[in-house]
Amino acid sequence: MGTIAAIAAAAVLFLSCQQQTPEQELIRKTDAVGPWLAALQMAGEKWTVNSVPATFVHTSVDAAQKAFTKAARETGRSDARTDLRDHLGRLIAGGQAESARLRRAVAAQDRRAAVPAIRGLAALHADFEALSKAFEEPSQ
Amino acid sequence: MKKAMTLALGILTSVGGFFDVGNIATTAQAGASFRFQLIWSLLLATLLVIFLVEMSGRFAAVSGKALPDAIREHFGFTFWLVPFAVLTLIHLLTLGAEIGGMCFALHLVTGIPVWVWAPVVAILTWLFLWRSTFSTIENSTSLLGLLTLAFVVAALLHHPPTGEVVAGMLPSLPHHDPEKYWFIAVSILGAVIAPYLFYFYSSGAVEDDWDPSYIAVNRGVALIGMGFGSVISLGAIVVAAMVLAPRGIEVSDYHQAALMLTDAFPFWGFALFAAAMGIACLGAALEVALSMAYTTAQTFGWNWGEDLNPREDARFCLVYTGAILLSALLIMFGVDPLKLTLLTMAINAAALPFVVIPFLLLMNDGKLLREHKNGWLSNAVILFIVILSFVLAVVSIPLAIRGGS
Repeated sequence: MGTIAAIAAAAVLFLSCQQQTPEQELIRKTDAVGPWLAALQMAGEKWTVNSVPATFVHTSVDAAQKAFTKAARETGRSDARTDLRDHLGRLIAGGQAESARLRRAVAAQDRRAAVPAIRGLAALHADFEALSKAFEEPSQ
Repeated sequence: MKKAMTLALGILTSVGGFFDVGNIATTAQAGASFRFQLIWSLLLATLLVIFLVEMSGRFAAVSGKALPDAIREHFGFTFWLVPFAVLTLIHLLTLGAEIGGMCFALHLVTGIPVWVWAPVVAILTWLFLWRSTFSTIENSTSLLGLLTLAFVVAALLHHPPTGEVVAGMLPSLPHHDPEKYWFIAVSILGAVIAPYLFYFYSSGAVEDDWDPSYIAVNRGVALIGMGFGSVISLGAIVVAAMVLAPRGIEVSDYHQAALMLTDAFPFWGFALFAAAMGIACLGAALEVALSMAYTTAQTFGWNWGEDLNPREDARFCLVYTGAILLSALLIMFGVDPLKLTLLTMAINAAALPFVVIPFLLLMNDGKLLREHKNGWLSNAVILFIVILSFVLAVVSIPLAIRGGS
């Protein structure tokens, strides 16, 4: 019981004391982008082997687009360094474009056309991960 | 022979009925974000829920009364009002989350927006309650819920690293995102130790006419049923850790979780996930709606019982009808099902002291329970739960704001 109380107290203390730079804050506020890029990549791959229906890819893209739009808004509002905001902005715009491309390929039942969109999403995801790592908060 | 059947069926229904939308959301998040590191919170929650369920069944078997009924009679109406208000809020939010889960399962396979399904699902749930007996509800949905064992099969097919899984059984500090880590840990506890569960269980025992001869059956159902039930949740953590985490997919939306079974079952995985989610949520929605009706009817001393004709307990039926309607409205008005689920799990955790303390007091009443009152071990575990609940209540809110965003 003492351990739990101590852990909880440490967690509360951590929350109240933690300071973030504007860059770290922006990375945190846009952290949904990376998982969505990866999820769309996987959804696209699974669609090409008939593991998921086309409607699932459509609705996933729609949900991801909402997350991208929210992230773009956060990036626009942020006080973070310009180079980070520009880089993130490019990644988000890339995500929007590649997911729309995937949606079009799926709507046309064109598996071959889906492949470059899936590759594009994979590249954007790798880029996003590297960017997040560069600005991630020091471990506690 | 009858008791052996009751035990077997009870275990099956506990296993099948263990998994619900809260478990799906929290275990998928845990595995995807922290791989096996949060298994300890599932184990801790399972241990506590086994004790709580065993006690509520023992109480009903010995006293012949359900918990709300007994607390009101024993401590008075005024004392019971606060726990009752808390339980009502939890019931409505949980029912909304379960209805949202069913709607999302249907959305996954049809592409039709989630909110459109809300009235359909609400009518289906209501019809099921209106037309069925308690045992039909208990057995049919829970047995269908065994479909969720797909997560266990998938976990085994992925051959997870045993060392890492075992290491996850011990609490450890996170390597990244500490606020998210603690929030998910709290949510897992809130999902497994759902306060409605043990209140519902005691009402169910009264519906099934349990007497003291059922104490051994009750112990078996609580221990084996809940124990094996948590294996499904463990399976879901492992699958998410093996499939989603390596790809960098964290779960902020059910679409992301829906991919979990597609590696293990390339052709059926997606449909299996949607079916498991839909059935698990239907079973839980029926239980939660009934639990709300039980609690309210017992609070005000109305007639109650799912096996009665609706004409004989009209107010009982009116409560679950209203609860389903109100909860479905949350989804119809566009509340995100995953966010609703996570918020509900955090509130579940925060609410535990309000609903556990009256229960603890009752379980130590020698006049009521005679030789079946709590022993030192049960008391120690309950005390542990109360302290843990209080800590969770303090921690879960800021974590929900920060980590669960």
